[in-house]
Amino acid sequence: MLFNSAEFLLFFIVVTILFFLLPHKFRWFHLLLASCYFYASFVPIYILILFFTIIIDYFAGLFIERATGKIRKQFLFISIIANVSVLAFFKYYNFFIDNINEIFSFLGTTANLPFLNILLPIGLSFHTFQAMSYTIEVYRGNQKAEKHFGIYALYVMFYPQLVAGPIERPQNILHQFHERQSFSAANLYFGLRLMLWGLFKKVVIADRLSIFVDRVFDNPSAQNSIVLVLGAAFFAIQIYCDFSGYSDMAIGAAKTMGFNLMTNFNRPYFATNIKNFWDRWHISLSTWFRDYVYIPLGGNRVKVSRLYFNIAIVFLLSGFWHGANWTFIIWGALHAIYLFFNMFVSRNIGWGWATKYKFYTCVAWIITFLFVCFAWIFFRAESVNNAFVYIRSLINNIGLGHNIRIPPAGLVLGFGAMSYSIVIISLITMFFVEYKFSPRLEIKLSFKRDLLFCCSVLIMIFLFGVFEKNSFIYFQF
Amino acid sequence: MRYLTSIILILVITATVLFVSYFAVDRGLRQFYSGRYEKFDEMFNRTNYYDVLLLGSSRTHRNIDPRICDSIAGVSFYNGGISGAEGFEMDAALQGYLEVHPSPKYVILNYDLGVLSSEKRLYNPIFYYYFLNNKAVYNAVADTDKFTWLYKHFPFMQYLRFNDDIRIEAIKGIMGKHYTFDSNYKGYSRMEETIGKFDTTYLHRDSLKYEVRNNDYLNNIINTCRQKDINLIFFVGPVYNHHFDKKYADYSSIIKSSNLFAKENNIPFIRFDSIPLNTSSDNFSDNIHLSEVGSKIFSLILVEKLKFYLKDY
Repeated sequence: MLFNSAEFLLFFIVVTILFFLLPHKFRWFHLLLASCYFYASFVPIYILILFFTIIIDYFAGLFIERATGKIRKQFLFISIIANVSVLAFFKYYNFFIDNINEIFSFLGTTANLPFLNILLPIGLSFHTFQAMSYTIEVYRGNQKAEKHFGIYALYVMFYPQLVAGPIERPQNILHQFHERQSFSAANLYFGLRLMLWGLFKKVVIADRLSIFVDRVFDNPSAQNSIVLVLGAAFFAIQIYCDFSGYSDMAIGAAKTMGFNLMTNFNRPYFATNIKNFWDRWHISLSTWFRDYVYIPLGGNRVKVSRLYFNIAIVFLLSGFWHGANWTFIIWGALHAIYLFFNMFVSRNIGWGWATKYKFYTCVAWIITFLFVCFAWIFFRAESVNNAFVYIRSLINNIGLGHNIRIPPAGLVLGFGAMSYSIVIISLITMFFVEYKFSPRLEIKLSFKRDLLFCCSVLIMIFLFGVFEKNSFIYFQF
Repeated sequence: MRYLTSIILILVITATVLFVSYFAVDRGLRQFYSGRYEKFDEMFNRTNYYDVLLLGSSRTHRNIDPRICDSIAGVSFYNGGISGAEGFEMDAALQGYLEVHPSPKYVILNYDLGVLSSEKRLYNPIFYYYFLNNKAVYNAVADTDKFTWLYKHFPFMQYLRFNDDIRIEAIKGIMGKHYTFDSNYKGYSRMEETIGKFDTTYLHRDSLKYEVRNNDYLNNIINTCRQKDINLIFFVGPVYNHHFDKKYADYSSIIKSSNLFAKENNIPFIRFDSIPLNTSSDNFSDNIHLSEVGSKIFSLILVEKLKFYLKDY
C-alpha cells in the first residue's frame, strides 16, 4: 500500500478516525493492528521477520536492563547479531555469494555457490536499524526497557515510518505511545498540509522526472552530454522529492494523530558544503551512524589519520546500508572523499566566505550540488560499469556532430513540452516554498495565503500528477 | 475552529476549481477526439438498428469501411472496432452495444490474437468515462478500476487517470483542434499514414501461449450471441506478408486450434491472412493495418465472402 495510492488515503482516514474514537487504552492495539495490515499489504509473509526481531529485541531490552556487568553486553551482542543476521541474510547474501563466485572465477576455478531466490523484505534496513537503536539506548541507560510488548512492537512497526523511516530513536517516540493524544485541529491541519506537500513532491515532481531519468540511465551511451547532465540533475531532484516526499507524508500522517516524528530532511540542496549537506540529508540515518558508529569509533577526538579512517568507515557503511551493490559502496566512498576535502578546507581556509556574500553562497550551493549529483550517478546506475559508461558518455558525447536529443533518445512519448513545463513550474514552486518555509512547513500564514497555498498544491496534484502507482525509491532499502 | 474551517474550505474551493476546469477539459477532449466520441455515442447511447455489427481492434476500426459493405450487401453494417481492444474490451463493447441497441442479426468478429488475451484491460479507459450511464460500460470500467463510481459522480476525479498526452490533447481540443485520423464513417476511420513502420527483422519469435478454449471473454461473446439469437462469424484479418507467421512461433497452431474450436461451436471461421492483397505494401500502413486504399479493397473482399453467409438473411 503506497502512500501515493487511493487505498492508502482510505486506510489513513479510517485509521485516524478510529484512533480518536477509541479509548486511550485500546489505541496501541488499534495502531499495531493497522501497522500489521499496512506491512502485510506488501508481502504478507515477511511480517514474520519483523515479529522475530521484535521478540528478540523486546526480551534483549528487558534482560539488558536487569543484568549487570558483562552479561549486559552479551545480551546487547545477541540482539545486534540477530538483527544484523536478518539483514545480512535477506539483503546481502546474494551480493556476497556473487562476489565469492567472481573471485573464484578470477582465480581460474569455480565455486558456483547457489543464490537465494528471495525478495528483499520491504523497509528491512529501516526497521532493523530502528530496533537496534532501542537495545543500544537501553544498554547505554538512555532509555528504560519497554515492559509493554505491544507498545514495543508498535515502536518498530508504527505504520507511517515502518517502511522508509524516519529511523526513530526510542527516547523520542516510545513515550508518545504511552501518552494520551487528544484530538487537535491544529495537528490535523498541519499534518494534512505536510502530507499534501509530500504528495506534491512525489507525484508531480519525482514520478514525472523518473520517466526521463529511467530512460537516460537505461541507455546512457545513446544520449547527448546535455541530456546526461540533465539526467543526473533530474535524478538528484527526483530522489530528494521521492524520499523527502515520503518523509513528509510519514511525519504528517503521524502528526494528525498527535505523534511527533523526527525531521528527516532540512532542504539539503541549499547546503553550501558537503558536511552541511549531510547535516540536512536523511538526518535520521546520518545521526544513527554518528551516534552508533562514528562516536564509538572515537569521533572527532582522535588523531587526524584516525579521523579520516572513522569517516571512511561511516560512509562506506552508509553506502552499503543502501544496497548490496558496489555502486552504493562507491557512492559512499565518494562522499567520504568529499568530506576529506571539506575538512581540509575547514582547517585551512574555513567556510565563512561561503555565507559572507550571497554570490559566494550561490557558488557554494552550485558546487556542492554538482558534487552531490556526480555521486548520485553511481547511486542510480544499475552497475559500476553502467556508471562509468554514463560518465564516459557525458564527456565524449559533447562532441560536434552528435545530435542534441531532448527528450532523451528513445523517449518519444511521455516527456514532451508539457512535462518540461510542469517540471519547471513545480520546481519553481518547490524552490520558493522550501526556501521560505521551515522543513515541516510549520509556519503560520495568513488565512487567505494558507488557503491559496493548499488549494494551489492540491489542484496541481490533480492536474499535473503522475498517478501510475510508482513505488518509492527508498522502499528497496 | 480556524483549522477545521480551513480544511473544509480547501476541499470545497479545490473541488469547485477542478469541477469547473473539468468541463473545459472534457469539452476539449470531445472536440479533439470528436470522431471517437461520436462512435462511442452511437455504440453506447443511441438506439439505431444495424443488421451487422463488426467487432475487433484497430484492425477492424481502420480496415473495414461499412459504407462499401452496405452498398454491396444491401444490409446495414456498423464498425464497432475499437483501437487496442483485446478480448475483455471486445466483450465489453458488445455488451455495451446490446444494452441500448436492438440485437443485430450478425456479429462479425475480427479474430485478432488479442481476442484470446485473458487480461482484464481497457486500452484507453478515459474514453469510456463519458458513457458510464450505460450499465454494461460501467461494469466493464468498474471491473478494471474500483474507483469508477467516483468518476461517475465526481467527474473531475477522472483527472487522476489522465496522462500528459491526454492533457495536451484536451488543450488542443479547447483551442479548436481536431485529431486528423479520427474521422467517423459508421465507426470506420482510415489509418494514420505511417512511413517506415514495416518491421522486417524477426530476430526472435515470440511465444503466445493462448488458451483458445478456456478464454472467458471469447466464450462470453459466443454465449451472448447465442442467447440473443445473433449469428456469429469469425474472420482473421489481413496481415502484411505473413507477418504473424514470422513474428510468433506458435501462430499457425493457434489459428488451427481456433478453427477447430469455431467448427465445434458451429461458427464460420474465415481467413484473410494469406490472400493476394497481403503481398503489396501499398495496401498497408504497417504490418497489421491496411492503408486507406487497402481498407477499401478489403471491405470489398470481405463483403463478397460474407455474402455467402448473409444470403439466408
